Amino acid sequence: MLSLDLDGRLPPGPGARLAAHLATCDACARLAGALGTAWARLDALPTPLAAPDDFAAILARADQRPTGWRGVLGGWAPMRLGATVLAACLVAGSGAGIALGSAAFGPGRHADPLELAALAEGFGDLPFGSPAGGLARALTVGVEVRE
Amino acid sequence: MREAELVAAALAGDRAAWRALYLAHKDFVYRVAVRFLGHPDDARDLTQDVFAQLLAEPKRYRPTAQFRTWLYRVVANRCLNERAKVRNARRVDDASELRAIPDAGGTPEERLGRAQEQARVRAAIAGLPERQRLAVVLARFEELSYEEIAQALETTVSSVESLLFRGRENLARALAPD
Repeated sequence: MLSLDLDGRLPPGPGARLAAHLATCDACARLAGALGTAWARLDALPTPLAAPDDFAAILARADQRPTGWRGVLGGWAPMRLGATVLAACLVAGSGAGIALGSAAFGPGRHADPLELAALAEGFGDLPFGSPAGGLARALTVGVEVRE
Repeated sequence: MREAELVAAALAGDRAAWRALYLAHKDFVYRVAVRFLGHPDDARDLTQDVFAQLLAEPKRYRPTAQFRTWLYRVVANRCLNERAKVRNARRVDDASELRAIPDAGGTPEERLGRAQEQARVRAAIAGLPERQRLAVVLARFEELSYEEIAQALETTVSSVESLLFRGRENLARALAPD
């Protein structure tokens, strides 16, 4: 409220109430005085000299600045591009992982080669006693022994 | 030519229109920069960079805003970014202070007293947090309204009120007698 009053932005009603308060409150009056004095002391700084006419230098700078795709790729774009590629990789990787996981551990899995061999023999794709069927049975026995 | 027409011509690539806009606004940009950054060379560099950015990337301008309002915002952003870049890299020194100020006359003692007061005030401003400092510079020296400062800093009017109150408090503390 003090700051608004110093800038002349306090409406008449609140302004009058503030003035009445400052008349009776030493602490607030001291603070208001200090704020006003500090603000006034900024007058000590003179107005800076006018800016030199650097338009030729500005044109040269503007011509050197990358624009279009060069501009896009020169700013935040590499980070955005990197983030997009990373996100795409994560999505693709997650999708592939889920698909492989489902195939390996899901209820409909048929990926075990021993099971495939037995199934193939059962359907007559491999003759009983064939090397492949024998190998499949040997491996199955091996697994059962280990278990 | 009115400013809106100048802006339209500038956006269409008319470099004479850009030059007219530059000449109309360069001193504002430079004054804000020199008071915010505290050094004329940094301020000159920032002024060049602001206008080079406008020239190179005019499509960033949103015609819904007045050019001057947009310029306030660009300058505020550049000041805050620049300050972060050069923070503590360069101290305000008496020599740079004196370079920017014409000799106002008086006895050597008076000139010394003025220089010391200016150095103290400048140090007090430099010691403000960045957003407070920018709000103080825009309000006190450029006499922007709270609404214009809010647009420049992309904040609310009540935030500007708060920034200016705290800025005044900090200045009063820094300028209090030892």
